[in-house]
Amino acid sequence: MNIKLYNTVSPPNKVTKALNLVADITGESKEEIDALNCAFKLSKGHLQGVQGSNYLYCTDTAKYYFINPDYKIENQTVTINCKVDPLMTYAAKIRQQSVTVARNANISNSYLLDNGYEMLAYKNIVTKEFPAGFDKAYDTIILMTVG
Amino acid sequence: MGWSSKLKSDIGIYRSLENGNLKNNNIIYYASGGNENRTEIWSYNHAITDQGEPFMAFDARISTIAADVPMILAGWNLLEDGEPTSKYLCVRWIKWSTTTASSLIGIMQIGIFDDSNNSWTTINDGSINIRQGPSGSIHTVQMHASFNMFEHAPQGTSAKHTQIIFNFVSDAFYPDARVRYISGFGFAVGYGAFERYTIGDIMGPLESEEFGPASLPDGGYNEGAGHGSFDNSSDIITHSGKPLIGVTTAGFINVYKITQGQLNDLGAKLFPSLNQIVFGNADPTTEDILMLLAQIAVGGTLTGGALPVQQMGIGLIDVLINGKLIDYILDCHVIPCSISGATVEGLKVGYRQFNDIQVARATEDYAEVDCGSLSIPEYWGNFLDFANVRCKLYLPFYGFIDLEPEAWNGGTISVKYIVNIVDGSFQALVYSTSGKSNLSNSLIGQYGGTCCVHYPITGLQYSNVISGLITAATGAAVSAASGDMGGAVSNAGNIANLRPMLQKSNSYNASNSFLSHRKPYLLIERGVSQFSVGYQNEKGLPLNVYMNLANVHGFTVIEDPVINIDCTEAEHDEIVRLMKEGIIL
Repeated sequence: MNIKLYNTVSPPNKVTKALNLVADITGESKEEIDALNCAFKLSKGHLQGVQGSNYLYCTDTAKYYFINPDYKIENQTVTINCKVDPLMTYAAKIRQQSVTVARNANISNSYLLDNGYEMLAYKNIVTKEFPAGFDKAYDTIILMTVG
Repeated sequence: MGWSSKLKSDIGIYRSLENGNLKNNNIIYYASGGNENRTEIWSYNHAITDQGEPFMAFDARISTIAADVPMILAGWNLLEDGEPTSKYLCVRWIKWSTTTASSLIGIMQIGIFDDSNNSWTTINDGSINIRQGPSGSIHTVQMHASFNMFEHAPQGTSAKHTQIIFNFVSDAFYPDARVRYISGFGFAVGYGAFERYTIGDIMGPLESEEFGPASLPDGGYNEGAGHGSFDNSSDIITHSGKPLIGVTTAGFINVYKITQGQLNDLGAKLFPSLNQIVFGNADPTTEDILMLLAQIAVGGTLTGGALPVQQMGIGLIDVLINGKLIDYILDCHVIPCSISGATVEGLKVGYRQFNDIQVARATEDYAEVDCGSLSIPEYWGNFLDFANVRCKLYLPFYGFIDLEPEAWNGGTISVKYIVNIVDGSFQALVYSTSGKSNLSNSLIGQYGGTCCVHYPITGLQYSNVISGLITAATGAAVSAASGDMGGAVSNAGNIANLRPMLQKSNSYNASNSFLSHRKPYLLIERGVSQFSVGYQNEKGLPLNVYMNLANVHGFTVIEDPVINIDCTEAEHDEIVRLMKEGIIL
């Protein structure tokens, strides 16, 4: 199987990651660990490529994987444990989805409540006076009589 | 073509048409919320039964429309054999044709928008003119559309005439358009007569459960569920004005504006000193007094500084008469404002009129004091202006009241007082104009109290005078005739008793509100929020819009993603988990 080893500095939750190709190699086998994790066995000759990468693409599965840093060397085989990256793998499909976006960095409804903000311990108090009122100069004495 | 033509009011599909975003070709269609390019459109879409009620209705509140920018206000996906197609029956706003204050005309069209090729086909045979009416009025504008989409209509004719009635509640530049119904009708000119039919006849019965509130794509909690009236109009509430009947118009009750000096003059007339009676001045010399005593001793004619006996007698009579006049004084108090409409005359007290004390007689019971208005712009321009703010309004002579931010933040607050000059009571009227609320110079609060200080020159409890004005005055007049005013008893032969008994109760300063600050003011308390510079990219900002992720960039949180991706279950769950935590698109 053809395996492309990459190095990426993109955060794991980025859908489309920026990839630097480290090596384009042939893998020996792939072993499923669980639904998301698997192990690739590579020739020991690809060790340098493994050491310089943290990401891979397998043409057989057409999926992208995170490479766990703990690899094993047994005899002439390097075993790397990987976890599928469903975001990169299904990036195009993800972008076709229509969903209710709860939060976004660039688009917002600024009048929706946002409970994520922090408050200082003190409050700002301002006073705004109306332009007019009861001028004392106009105080009036009223006398009421009958007659 | 033979569409089954089951029109389905579907906000979800409508939104997916353009996903709530601007298109480059200036056709803007938007589902709800948001504010793109300062053109705010809210579009609510719901289906109603075909049983003579409006088939479909939408509200489009349009503000700040860019000139000549076509905008689809509402669209309904056309189904074929029950399946969605790329075509939508749409109502499209074209432009304002006239934008004067008195004649606002907008042009709208009905047509078919094909999402597959971004094409628009106008199908109505004329534009709809929207005429602005007075604020809050409803105008019915009819538009006749002729289109050939109902090929298999019962009548079998190829051309159907369909009427779409728009009811507009226009308010300045905010037309509120509702499509009332679609039906066929007989039309005499050029088309022959058709039986009236409803959309149900054409389309087949609508499945009511599909159009019930819970089945609406928005979850049924937006406007549309329950088929409400959607009438969010607000009446302008103004004060009904000052009463027309008052004490000042009662002929025998006199309400005077009097100066301090005039009050003192009255006091001197009501309660002259003995010196005044005997000597004609309040401060005789020692020589005058000794002369008087000597003359009294010898029984001779009084000379010197003393007044003649006849004059002294007249003075004494005056005292006896004037002393009773205290019974005809109802009240004396100070109010914190001036009065208008006063006519000048000699001061009347009971059966005497003192022409040497010219006073202004009030002609109406009420004075108005306009404290002006405050316009407070929003500080942040976002939710913090409402979630993070408290406000109190100080009203002179009353105190502080709580005021919701919606009433003043980004709006205008006005305060006016109506003061009853007779009893010193007042009503403080608070008006609000606010864009966030639906208020336009409306009365939002009335607060009453007392704003006067009483002079204790009568023997009455002030509460008897303040309340039940006319009754008290009438009672006083009756008592005055009998010489009894609330207990102040006079003995004709006892000068000393001519002074009324002053009440010992704390009635001098009946309202300590008179000591209060004299101008209204707002006391605004704002929390000081703290956002890091990375907040947007790390946490995102609230959005809550149904949209296609192809048009979303940056950190994004989807709280309850419903996705349709061909992947394993574990991968699906992982994608959902990551979306809830936030992904970067």
